Amino acid sequence: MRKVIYFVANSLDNFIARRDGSVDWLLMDGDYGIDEFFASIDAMLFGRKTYEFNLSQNPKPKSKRKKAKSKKASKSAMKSYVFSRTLAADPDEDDVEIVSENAGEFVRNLKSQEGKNIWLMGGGELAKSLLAENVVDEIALNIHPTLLGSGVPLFPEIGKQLDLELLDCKAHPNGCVQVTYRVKN
Amino acid sequence: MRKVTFGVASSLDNFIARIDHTVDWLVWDDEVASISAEFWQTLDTVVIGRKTYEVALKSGTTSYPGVKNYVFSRTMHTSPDATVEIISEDAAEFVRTLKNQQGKGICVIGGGELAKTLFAACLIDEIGLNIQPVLLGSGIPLFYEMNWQIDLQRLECRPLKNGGVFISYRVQSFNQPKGESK
Repeated sequence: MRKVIYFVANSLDNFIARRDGSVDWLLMDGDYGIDEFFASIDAMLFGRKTYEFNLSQNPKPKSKRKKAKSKKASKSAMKSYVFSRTLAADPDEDDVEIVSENAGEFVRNLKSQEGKNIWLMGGGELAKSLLAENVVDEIALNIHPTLLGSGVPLFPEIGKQLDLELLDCKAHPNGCVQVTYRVKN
Repeated sequence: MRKVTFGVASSLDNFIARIDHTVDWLVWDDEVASISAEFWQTLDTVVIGRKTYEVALKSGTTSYPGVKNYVFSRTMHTSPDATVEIISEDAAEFVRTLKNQQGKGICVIGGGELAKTLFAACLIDEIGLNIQPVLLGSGIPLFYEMNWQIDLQRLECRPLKNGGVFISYRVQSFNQPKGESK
């Protein structure tokens, strides 16, 4: 069965972004095993706000987007799922699916299909509902050596306890600590 | 100048206790005991917030042995333990004075609220966390929101046999948040 992995960078006080969404505090100098991780997934899950923020950070003209897509082998394409009840599907983006139904149901169904692992990109609200629905298999955090003081929470209160098993802990030279857990319940 | 350490065990979602203040989810074993004992050697003083102290009292602990105990409270007038001094003056001022006196290290016990006050006054030098492998889902926060960004330097990082991760940091600098409009 495909695993859903919440893989994200956070501050020590568990924020994933400043209040305005900015992530200028992230250290980009490290090799956090992202290439290896990227090779192990073929789907990404976004909350609406996280998706819109990502788009605003990487604006691509539509024509270019189309061209880039035609080069890719369609079977190996990365599929993005955006959970939103308000967003309309972009007809030029067939790699992006807007999901308006219950997120837990949808992801449970997705997990039972053939495929590689699934990256839960965030944000915290989507993570919260998927953790509460018990569909998240692993949590991988790259804890940055900073207290932001305020921002977008990594774990909004889930309302229930989830026990974890530590799978891996790496201390990076730049001060980050990367921890990987399996969700037990 | 004496070193002030905020040393605490927390859940991965940054809670130091459940809503009802219980810490039954904490794992105590030989490895944690030895890290704790080693750290305790460097101290001669602990400062405790009133709420944390009340929780300790309920569980039958009236003081931490072998160190000077200070509890910050404006409402408690008499100390239940001769070795515990109740401090009604401003916590930051008091700790600043303590830091300038001769002595060993000072540990801030429990209390996210006391830690917040001391962080805001730039009085905390190091943070030592034992992150337990659990998401509690709700509880008493480890860190309260602050108007400052505090950059840290990681000192040590050790995975523990019980699934916990021990990480310590030195407080490096206080910054006004960048990119924050308003």
